[in-house]
Amino acid sequence: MKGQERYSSLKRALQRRENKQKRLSTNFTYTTMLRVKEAAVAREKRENRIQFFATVAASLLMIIGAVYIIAPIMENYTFSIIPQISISEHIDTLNLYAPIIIATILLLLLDIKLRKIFKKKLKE
Amino acid sequence: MRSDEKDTIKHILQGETHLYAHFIEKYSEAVFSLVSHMINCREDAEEITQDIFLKAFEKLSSFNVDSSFSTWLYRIAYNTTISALRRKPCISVTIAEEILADTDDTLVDETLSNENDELLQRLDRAIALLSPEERALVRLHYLEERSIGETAQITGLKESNVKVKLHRTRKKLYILIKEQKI
Repeated sequence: MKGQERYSSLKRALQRRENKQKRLSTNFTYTTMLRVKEAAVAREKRENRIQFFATVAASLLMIIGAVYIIAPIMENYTFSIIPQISISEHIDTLNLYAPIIIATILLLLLDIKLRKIFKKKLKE
Repeated sequence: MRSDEKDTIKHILQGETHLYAHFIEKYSEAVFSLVSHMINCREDAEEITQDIFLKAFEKLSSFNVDSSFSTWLYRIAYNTTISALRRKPCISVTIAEEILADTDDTLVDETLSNENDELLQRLDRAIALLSPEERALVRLHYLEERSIGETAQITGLKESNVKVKLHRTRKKLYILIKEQKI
């Protein structure tokens, strides 16, 4: 005889207690889902913040690396191979950087727009 | 675990949070029963049940899809309830080891297999005097008919420890039944 069968009165007493117990409130799933959604939003924000700081940190590291490590190396070796070019003409800073800035802003806007479309499609 | 549940978990982890309602609807009553069985207070039990589902949602990425979701959820439920009870201890009866050791196993087995109405009432009162951990153990093993292995997984105890605890709990129930004067 199996253990559970042997203690039949214990099982019946437990069943009686179970039947006496009240049930969960009818809106339990709804209220729990509200809390779950809040937690999901908070988690997404946290992940985005971490991603942003990681990107900033990586960019800074790359810049520092370029300035302090790669630049001196390049200075020592490149100029021995490639002749130095002296630019005597006056370069208009705005004309040089404006297209880069405009392209960056446009790409950022495109990125935001595409992210929104992607999230919308995921929810559907 | 069923493949549709595996898929649902995958989708939830990809951001489809609304699908989690399926798990709440499917398991909430069972989890609530276990929690209320352990703590004997409906309001607290409902709040703890909500905390359990929230914790499970936050830990969902660590769930191994090849194992049983209900066992994993029950483990969270058991641990969360035990933690809640540490903040709000409840009354339970402790019986000296010598008295437990002197109790005859045959008498315990006979009593707990006798489906007499008066005995069932006594047994009900005796169960209420057990500790939350003991109540969870008897519920999981005798009511839900979970194996010793599963009960051990849920409670985080060793299988041998579960067997010993169940044995002691049966003896404790017998002593509590005999001590009642109706």
